[in-house]
Amino acid sequence: MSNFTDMDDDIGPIKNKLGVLNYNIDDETHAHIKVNTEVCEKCPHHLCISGCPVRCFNFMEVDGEVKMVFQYEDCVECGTCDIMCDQGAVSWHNPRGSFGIQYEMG
Amino acid sequence: MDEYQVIVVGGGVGGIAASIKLAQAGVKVVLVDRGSPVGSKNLSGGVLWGNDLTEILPNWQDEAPIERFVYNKKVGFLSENDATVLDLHFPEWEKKPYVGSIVLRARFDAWLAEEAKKAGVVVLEGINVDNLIIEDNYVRGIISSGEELRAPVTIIMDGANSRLTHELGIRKGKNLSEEKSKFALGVKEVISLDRETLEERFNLQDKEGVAGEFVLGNQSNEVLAGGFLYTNYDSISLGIIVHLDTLGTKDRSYEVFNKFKEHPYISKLLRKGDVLMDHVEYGAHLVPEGGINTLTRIHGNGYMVGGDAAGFIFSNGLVIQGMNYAIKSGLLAAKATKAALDKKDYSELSLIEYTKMIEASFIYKDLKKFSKVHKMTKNKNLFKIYPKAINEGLKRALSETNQPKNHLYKTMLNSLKEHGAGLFTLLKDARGAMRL
Repeated sequence: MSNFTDMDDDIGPIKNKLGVLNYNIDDETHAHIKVNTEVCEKCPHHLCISGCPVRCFNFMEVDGEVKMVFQYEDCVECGTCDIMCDQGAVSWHNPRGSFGIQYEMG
Repeated sequence: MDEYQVIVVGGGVGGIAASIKLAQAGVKVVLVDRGSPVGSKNLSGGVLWGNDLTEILPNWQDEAPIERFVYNKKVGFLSENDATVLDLHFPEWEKKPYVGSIVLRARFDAWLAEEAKKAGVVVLEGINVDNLIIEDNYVRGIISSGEELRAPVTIIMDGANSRLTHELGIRKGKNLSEEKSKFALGVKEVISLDRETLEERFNLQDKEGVAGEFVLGNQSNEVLAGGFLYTNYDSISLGIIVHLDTLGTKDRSYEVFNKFKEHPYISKLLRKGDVLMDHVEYGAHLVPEGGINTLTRIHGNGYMVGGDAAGFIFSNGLVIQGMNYAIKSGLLAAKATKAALDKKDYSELSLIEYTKMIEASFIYKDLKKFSKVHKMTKNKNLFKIYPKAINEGLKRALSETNQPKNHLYKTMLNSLKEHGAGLFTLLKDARGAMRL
C-alpha cells in the first residue's frame, strides 16, 4: 500500500465552504465521474487529492480498511482530476444537462 | 433539409458571440448549452479585456451587467508576510470604451444569451452534448440523450474542459494527463463587501474598479501560483491560478487559495472592522495555457473550434486573458461559416478560411509571440526568490535600524544574493523577462 498522506488532513473547512453553493444533484447511477478506486490503491502520488478544489477524493476507513472514496456530489466540474490522474482511474463526462453545479455569480 | 444551418456548442462568451453574429447575418442558428440557465456553468476571474463585442452589440458596455470598469491596476509581489505592490493609474482607462470590464460570468453570460434570443438565435438550455455525429469524415451535428440534431456546420466552443475536441482526436496530447503542463487551475471566492466600504477602501467612484494581480512568493514546496483580486459592485472576486504540474502529493489547490487569502496584505482588504467578510460563492475552473500547442487543427469538415477549447488563452504573468480571445474567435468562426453557407461548401477546404483569419488576427500573433513566455512565468525564481528578495531589500532600505546605511541598489543586490539570485542568475532572468 502506498502512503496515505491525506489521512491527517482536516477536510472540514473546505467542505464547509461549499455550503453556499447550489447543486442539482443527479442520482448515483448517472454520476458524471466514475473512479476505479482499486487503481488508486497502487497509485504512487494521489495527485487527484492535490488538485481537486472541492476535495471529492478522500482516503477513508471502510470496514477496517483504508480505501479511496470518491464522492461526485460536491464536484464543480472543473476537470482537474482527469488531468491529474495518469493511472487511468478517472472516467470523466459532463453531467446530464442542467444537473450539477449551478453558479449564480461565476 | 436540416432545420438549422449552424449548431454552436457552448454558451460562454465566445459561443454566444458567434451565434449572435450569425443570427444578425440572417443565418438559422441554434446555441446549445449544458447550463440551465445559460451562464450557470461559467466561471472566470474575471476581467473581460477589450471591446470586441462592439462588433455585434455596439452599446454593450452601457447595457450589460458589468460590475465595474478597470481604472486602477495593481501588480504585487507577496512573500510570507510582506508585500510590494505597484499601483498603476492611467486616466485614459477611465474613458469609453473602457479597456477592462469586471464581470461575474453567470450574470454576464445570461444577459448575453438573452441578447442572442433577441437577435433570433434559438437557445437550448440545459442540454449536454454527449457526442458529435460524424459521418463520412464530416461532423454533421450533435447527439444529446440519444437524440440527434443536424446542421451543415458545428461551431465547437465547449470550454477549457472540452470533451468534444477529445472525441475528434485533435488534441496534441494523447490523453489529458499528458497535458498536465498545459493547464492551470483557477480557484476563486466571491467575498461580500458592501458598496460604501468597498469604494472607500479602494478609492472608487461610480463604476470604477480595481484589477490586482499578485506573484505568490508565500507558497510551499514547488507550487507556482499567481493571485488575483477584482472589485465587483458590492463584492470582491479573489482567486489563485496554480500550474497543475507544480502541485505535489502534499499540496492542496484549495490551500494555495487559503494562503493567498490569509496573507496580511490581502486579508486586510477583506475585513470590515475586525470581521473577515463571508464568501458568497466558491468555484474553480481550468485555465488552458497551451495556446497554439493545444490542438493539431482548429477546423475540419463541418466544424470549427474556438475559445478555451482551442487553448486561446494569453498569459504573461501580468495579465491573463481568455474571454476576449474567445469572443474574437467566435466572431471569426461566424464569418467563415457565413462564407461557407453562401458557397454551400462545408469541407475543410472551405472552412480553412477560419484558420487563416485566426492566423491573421491578434489571437494567433499574440499566442505565437508569447508561446515561450512560460519559460519566465514558470521560472521558479520569479516566485521563490524575487518576491522575498524585493520585499526584504526594500524593507531594509526603508527601515531605520541605527546601522550605517547602504546605497539602495547595493541593499537590493545584497538581498537578491542572499535569497539565491546572484549576478548571473539576475542576467539570465532579465533575458527571460524580455519574453513577457
